[in-house]
Amino acid sequence: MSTASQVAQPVRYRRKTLTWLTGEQGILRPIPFVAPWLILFGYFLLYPIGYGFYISFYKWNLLTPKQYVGLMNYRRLLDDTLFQKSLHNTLFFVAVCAPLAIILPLLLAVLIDSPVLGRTFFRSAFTTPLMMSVTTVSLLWVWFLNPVFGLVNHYLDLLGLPQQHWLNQSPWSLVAVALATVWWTTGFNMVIFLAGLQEVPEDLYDAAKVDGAGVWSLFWNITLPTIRATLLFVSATTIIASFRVFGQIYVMTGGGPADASRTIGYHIYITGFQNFRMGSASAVAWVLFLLVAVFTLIQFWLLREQD
Amino acid sequence: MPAKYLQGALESVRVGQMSRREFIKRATASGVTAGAAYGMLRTGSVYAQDTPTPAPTQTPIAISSNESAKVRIQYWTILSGPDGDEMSALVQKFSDENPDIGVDSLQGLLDFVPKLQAAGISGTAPDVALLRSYYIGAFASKGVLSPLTADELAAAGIKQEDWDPTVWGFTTFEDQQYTVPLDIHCFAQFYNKKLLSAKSLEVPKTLDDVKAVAQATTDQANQICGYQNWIAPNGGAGENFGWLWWTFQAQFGGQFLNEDNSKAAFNTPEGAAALQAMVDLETVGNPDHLLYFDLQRNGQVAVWPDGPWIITPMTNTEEAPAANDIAVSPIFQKDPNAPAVWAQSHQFSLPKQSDNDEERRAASLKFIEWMTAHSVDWAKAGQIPARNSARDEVVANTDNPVLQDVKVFIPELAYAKFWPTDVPTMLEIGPRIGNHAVGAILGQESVEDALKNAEQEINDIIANG
Repeated sequence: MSTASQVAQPVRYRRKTLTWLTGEQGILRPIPFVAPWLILFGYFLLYPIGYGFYISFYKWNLLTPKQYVGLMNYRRLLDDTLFQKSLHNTLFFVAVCAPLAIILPLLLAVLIDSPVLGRTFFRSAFTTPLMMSVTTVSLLWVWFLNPVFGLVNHYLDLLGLPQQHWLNQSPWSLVAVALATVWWTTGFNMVIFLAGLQEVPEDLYDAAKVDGAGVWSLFWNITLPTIRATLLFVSATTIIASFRVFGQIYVMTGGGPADASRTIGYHIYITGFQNFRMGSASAVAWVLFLLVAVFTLIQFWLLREQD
Repeated sequence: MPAKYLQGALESVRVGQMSRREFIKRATASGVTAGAAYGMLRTGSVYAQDTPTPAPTQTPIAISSNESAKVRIQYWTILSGPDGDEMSALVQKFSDENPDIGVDSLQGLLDFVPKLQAAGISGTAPDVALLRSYYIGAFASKGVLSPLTADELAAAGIKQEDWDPTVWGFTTFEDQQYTVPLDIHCFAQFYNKKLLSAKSLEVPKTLDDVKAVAQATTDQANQICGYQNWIAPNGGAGENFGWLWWTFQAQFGGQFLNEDNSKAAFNTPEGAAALQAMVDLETVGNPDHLLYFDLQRNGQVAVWPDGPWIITPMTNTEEAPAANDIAVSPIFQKDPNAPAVWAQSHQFSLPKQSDNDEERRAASLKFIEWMTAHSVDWAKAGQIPARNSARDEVVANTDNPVLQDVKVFIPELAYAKFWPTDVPTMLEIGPRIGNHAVGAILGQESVEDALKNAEQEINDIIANG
């Protein structure tokens, strides 16, 4: 008997462990369900992100052996004028592009949500650019902005305004890229705002109108607070995308003229994939990540639930 | 294939070498012919001259010759546009004469440098790669290229005495030879005969002459530029603008790097005077910083520097409406008694192979010998052959219009100034001085700041290896 109980005890113990791990509430239970995605996510995202962090402490050109340099790649950024210029350009781009790419779609969504003539047409028209690839949009704008025979300068001339050499002068080259980006992304953000606007209860507007609220008051006190979550989503994704801008820069300006539109994303590309300084590029990428994270947290805080 | 063609076209638009109309025309035709091209690729062998694809893809970007040949070599170049066309035709000619060697040729690779390096990392590098001479340091220092021995060069019939002696000196890294030069290209002076004769002006010979021409012909209201610096639109300046900067710098007696290539050596009074001369010419000749290329081909620029590769579009009335008014002469000099001009060279290299196949290496060297021997055909894309016999053929030619202009460049080889091949970071350094020189010319920074900033950045790059 005593022998039997000695054998049974480990069995009971094992069962308990298994329940804890793989039972109905076991922590391993969801793993098989998410495994296909988790494997790909881990291999193609988590691993490279972690590896990027690891090589940011090394000097490495992919071909010769890695050389451990500690925090050197981060420390050098403090004296790296090119990095600092890229950072400055990126912040300028975010400051110009992001507010426009958030406010303009919001206003368009509000307009299109109201019963205006041709709203279906406008809804389609505004969303058409988002179906184009970044290269198409960028090339289109290179021609729009051509100083000699571009459309933009043509209309500036008709309006009696001074013509600009958009892509060939600082800071207009970045402004030009911001314009193209706003044109390209407005439709997407507008669709998101439109979806948010459908959630605003009609009776709130009715009640406010009874109380004598005007158009502006309705927008400020009812529409905006109700679509707070949508606004948070749009502003967070738009600001993140603005920080990461690359494709438009690559096609439209090549970072020029004279580095005037070299942004952090483009700087990482040149450092990593033209100059093959993988450690430096990774360090800059992590700085960009931290920067974006801080800005995103600030937005969450600003747009947090007030009640 | 059309997709790759479009990539090339896109790059041409980006660097301002193709107009909007031309791009749209080619892009549309490329789309229309996509099906035909797909069918063609599926049949296996695609030849340069018998492709059923009509213009605009006059020559495919990728060709694969002698499908049944036992030895096959892969050949990559950075060339696109007319250069790529001529190169593909020459590869096909080699294949016709050498049926025992098949060539898989890829022309006009965008992002050539990272692609070749990535291929080196993954062990899939081509057997032969055509590089710019100052790329040697970057690739050889990382072990992407394999050195060439005197014995194997001799066995392939490649003899130093057959080459221009100056360019042969720019084929090494740390005293080991890595390349065989195909061509040489340098700047010359293009000018518009009509604009000059309208003001009864002579073709400029000195910097002062150019300034005088610029003063006399510039007409801001009608977008006429007396002179344009070689600033490619949309940021294409970066690396390439350093080439024009080096022409001025060398003419003013300045240096690029110090003796042992360990530091920048251009931030000197001579360097400041050279960059100031570029700024002054821009101020007089192109005060509005109007974009390069389009105005020239439309007859709105009096004088401008450019390389021989531009002869093909500039002499073709379909691409340059003002082609009949455009002519070329040796580049203006600060001091005709101490002339200088930037020069570089496309050179054949043999990237390291994971299998060290001797047969393919021998075939590659045979290919290189044949291509250099027949480079008079390559000269028709607007390049000066590096091999003496081919250059003599250019000089002797009397009927090819492009070669007549190429001849103008040949005397400049006597004072050609190359960038060093011994600097592993040359590909990083070039864009730094190029960008800052552009910054000074566009008024984004002063001449002093441009030189100081470029010096600091370049010293940092060299110090960090």
